[in-house]
Order: sequence, then C-alpha cells, then structure tokens
Amino acid sequence: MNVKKKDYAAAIIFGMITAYIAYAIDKAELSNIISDYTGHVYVYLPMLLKKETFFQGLGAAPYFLWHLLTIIGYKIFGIPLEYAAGYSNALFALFSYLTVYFFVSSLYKRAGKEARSSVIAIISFGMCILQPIAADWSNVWILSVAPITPNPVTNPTYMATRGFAVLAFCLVIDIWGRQENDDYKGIFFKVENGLKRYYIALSIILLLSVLAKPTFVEMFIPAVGIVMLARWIKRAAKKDGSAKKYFKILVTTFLSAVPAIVVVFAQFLMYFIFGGSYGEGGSVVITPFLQVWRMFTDNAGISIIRALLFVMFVMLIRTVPFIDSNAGRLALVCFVVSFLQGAFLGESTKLGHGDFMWPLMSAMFLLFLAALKALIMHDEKEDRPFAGALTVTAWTIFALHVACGVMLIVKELFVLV
Amino acid sequence: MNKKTVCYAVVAILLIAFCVIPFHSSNCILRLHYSDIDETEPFVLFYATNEDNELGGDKTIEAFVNPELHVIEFVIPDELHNDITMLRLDFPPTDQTIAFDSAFVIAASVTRKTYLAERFFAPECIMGTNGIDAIQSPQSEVATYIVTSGGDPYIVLSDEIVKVINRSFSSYFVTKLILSLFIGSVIFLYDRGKRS
Repeated sequence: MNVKKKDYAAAIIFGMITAYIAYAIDKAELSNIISDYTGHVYVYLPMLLKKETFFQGLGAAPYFLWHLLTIIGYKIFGIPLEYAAGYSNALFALFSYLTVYFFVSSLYKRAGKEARSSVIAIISFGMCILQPIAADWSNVWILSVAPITPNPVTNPTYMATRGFAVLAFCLVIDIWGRQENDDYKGIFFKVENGLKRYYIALSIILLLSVLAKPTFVEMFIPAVGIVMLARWIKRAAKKDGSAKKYFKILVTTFLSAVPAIVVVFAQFLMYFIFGGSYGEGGSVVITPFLQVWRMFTDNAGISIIRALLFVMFVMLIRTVPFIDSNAGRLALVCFVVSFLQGAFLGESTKLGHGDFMWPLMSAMFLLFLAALKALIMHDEKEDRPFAGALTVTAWTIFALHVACGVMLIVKELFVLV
Repeated sequence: MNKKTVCYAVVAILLIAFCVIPFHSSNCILRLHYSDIDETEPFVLFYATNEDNELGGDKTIEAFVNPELHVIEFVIPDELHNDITMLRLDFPPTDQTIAFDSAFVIAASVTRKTYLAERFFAPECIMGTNGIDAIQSPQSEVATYIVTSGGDPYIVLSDEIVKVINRSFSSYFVTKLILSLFIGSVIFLYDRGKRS
C-alpha cells in the first residue's frame, strides 16, 4: 500500500460528516414523540440526574456510557441536555468511523495493495451509514429504520457500542490467528509479540461495550465460545494431545470475557429482577418461532436478503476466503446465534420493542466487515471469465446499500423535522 | 456412493424439505393510495368467512389514514387464508370527497396485484353500495373520486377482488427457494474452491 501520510484530508472530512450526521439525527429524532432518543433524553437522563430517582433510572437503563458522556457535557460543561446528547452521539459516531477506518486500512496494508485514504474514508463512511436495500414505493421496501438493519442509526445506545464491537472483532481475529499458529502476524495488532496485552485489551473493550449496551456481547461472547469449543472438540477427536493445550487457551480467552459477563448479569438483575424494565412483571420469555420478527416484517427471509445482499454476493464470489477465515466464521456464528435469540426470545411486557433483535444487528455489521475483508484481501482469479466484473458488481451492491443509507438520512433530517 | 455424494444428497433433501414443508402463511395487505382526504376516523373492512357467511359482528379490520405515506392499509391476518367469502369497505360516516389513486394487494413483502383506482372501483368490481353519492373517474386524471354521505357509506367489493385476496396469501415458497439456492450454491462453491 500504503496510505500516504499527507493524504488524510478526506479521512478527516468524512469523519466530520459522520459525526455531524449523528448529531443532526439526534436533533431530528427529538422532535419525534415516540423515538429512542426522546426516551433516553427526556425520560432516563432526567431520572439519572436526580438523587431520588437515580437508581430507578439506572434500573431502566443499566447501560449508561452514552448517558454518562451526556451528563458530563451537561453538568461539567453546561451544555443544554439536548445538545449534550447530540455531541455524545457525534463522538461515538466518530469513534465508530475511526475504528472502521482502522479496520479497512489494516486490510489494505496486509493485502499489500495501494489505497488512497480517500477510498478508505469513503468505505468507512459507507459502513457507518449503509442500510438495507429499500424503496419508498412499497410498504415492505420502505425506507425506514427497521430492526433488521446493520445500522439502526436512530438508537443512541446501540450506536455507542459500534466502535467497541469493531475493535473486539479485530482483536478476536488476531488472537485466534496467533493461537492457531505461532508464526502468525497480526492483521490489526502486533500479536506476534505475545497475547497477554491483547487479552487485557479484549477484556476492557468487551466491558466498555457492555456499559454502552449489552446486546453486542450477548451475541459475541457465546459465538466466540461456540467456535472455540468446536475447535477444542475437533482437536480432542484427533487424540494428538493438542486438545489439552487448546483447552488452556480456551480458558484464558474465556477469562478475558468474565468482567463483561459479570456486568451483563448485574444489568439483567437490575433490569428484570429489581424492576428496571418498565411494565410490571417484565421478564425474558421464550416466544413462538419468529413471533417478534413478524411484528416488524411480513417476510423475515426477504428482510435478511435486503439487509445482507452485499454479504451474500461476496459469499458467492469469495466463498473459500470468506468461510475459511476467522472473520467469516466468527461473523457467521454470530449471525446464527443472534438469529436464534431474535427468533425465540422477547420481553414479556414489551415484545413489540424487539429488544432481542439488537444482537442480530451487531452480527449483521460483523458480516459486512467479514465480507469487506474477503473482498479487499482476496482477488478474483485472472483466468476467470469477466475477471474483475464480479468484484465491481460487489462494490456496486455495497454502493447501493450506502445510497439507501443516504436516502434514509435525507428523509430523517429533512422530512421528519 | 462415496461420502461426498451422500453429504450432497443429505443437504439437497434438507433444502428441498425446507422449501416444501409448509410454514404459516403471510398476512395479506390491502392498501389504498389516496391523493385527497379529509377524514381521520378509521376505515373499516368487514369480512364474511366460510364458517360465518354474514357480514358484521367482530369480523372487522380497521385502518387509519397514514398522512405521511398517503395510504390506508388493511392487514388481513393469515388465519383468513382462503376463508374470505365477502368484503365490504366502510367509509367514515361523513360528507366528503375522497380521491383514490390506486390499490395494492401485498403479501410476504411482494406486491401481488396492482389496480388503478378506476379499475378497483369500476362498476363490475362493486357488488353493492350504500351512502355513496358518486364514483367518478375523470378521463384526464388518475384519481377516482368517491363522494360519501354522512349515513353509513360502504362499498361491497366484487367476488373477483375477494378471489385475488384469497389467492394472495403467501406460503413464502419463493423466498425459501432463493435462500435454499443461496445456501446450496455456497456449499457447492466452497467444496469446488477447496478442491481447486
């Protein structure tokens, strides 16, 4: 590659645009009586700001990183609450954009390809706003933030987890690479110098992610566990003694997830047992298959195809690199785990909120990252007919997702207000 | 048969089973597009079924005007798949003129049938009316104007429209087929890629 050091202007401009969009969406959504922003800004934040209602507020939103940043802006810097919320949003969006930029630039670097930072910036910006393929002319293709999207931009706490999710994904890919092969050189981090610091980093990142919103780790930790257990079982079946060594690795990796798991359980206690979930008797329930999905879509299959068209196409043109990579496998298992959570779990008093759909959205985003990795790092075989055309088609589909994201933002900012 | 052939056969059987084993039907949506309307009270779709062939009682579906999208949307539940024998569209009981543009029958995220309002409200598509003072489709316009009075205005829809709606409930076969073809293709391409 590489990114030319003097060529960061585009990266900075797109970062600013991403942050501004997040800020503006906050402002637009606050004019909507029934929106996630209204709930967080006008219900939870006032509760958290008063001594008498602090614990009630904490019970209702035990994931408070976004709220904490907003309260700091409000209390310390004297910024009005609505604006402080907008700035928190912008900061988390910028963080998210930078992590995706880091992800994409690391891929180009590892692939040894030339890439201008403007190209990386456009891809990263696209990743931060892309939406399912949609059109306004049919109610089912309607351009709105449905729960089946990789980018639910109208939920502040979900968007706050995004940057941590990308970093955790990068860390696990490199940690797994090094665990499998001592000669592995990290794509994103220098894991060849040892894993200790990266286990600690993973632990901190997962913890911060839980504090922003627990939905990412609800899906991510089980998925990592499933893949590693499968690998351990495979080694045990070989009976070559490698299983014992791998079990130690598995336990070490699990230990780095323990702080996050402890906090998730504490949040569950607050939310469900101590009555944080609004509505009396709120609890997790097992629902009939796809009951919650059907509240949001008439056709779960088409909704998945719309949301993941780019990923599906890349899976067809880069099948082996996608499935054989740690990134692809992890993202696929994340998707299956979160699909099952969304298909069978709900909150008894508010099924219509689709709160167990959030992990699925994180998994969809990871699938996009895995697809980008397969597309950027692996080229089409030159002897293939129409070599290059399939890659161009894949990028065109990506652009279509981004265009739908742009249209949605225009609608949010100029129609909603 | 070698091991690989058996694996392919098992995958093929599973995917075919996924396609053909019946899942619940989708809902069916009757959506009316309007260009001009005053009323915000709900429109009501009365239906009769094979078991109870009388219109009335609690066999109703309400729909409110959506001013953002300019639509009125009746969601007909999947329990009524192939069970509807008659449909009656009740208008809000006020004097007003409504301009309808088109009507759509949608199921499983797919538009099954599109009507221009002129066709949907054509005399042969209407079995009876009450409290409707006029149905006009000017030649120079797409819209069809329906003038209602304050009594109990309604239109009984024709058997043809009932038939279209009964037929339109989806069993998701095409969606399942697309997903199965995708999964099958990925498995095949992965296997071929590994070999080469």
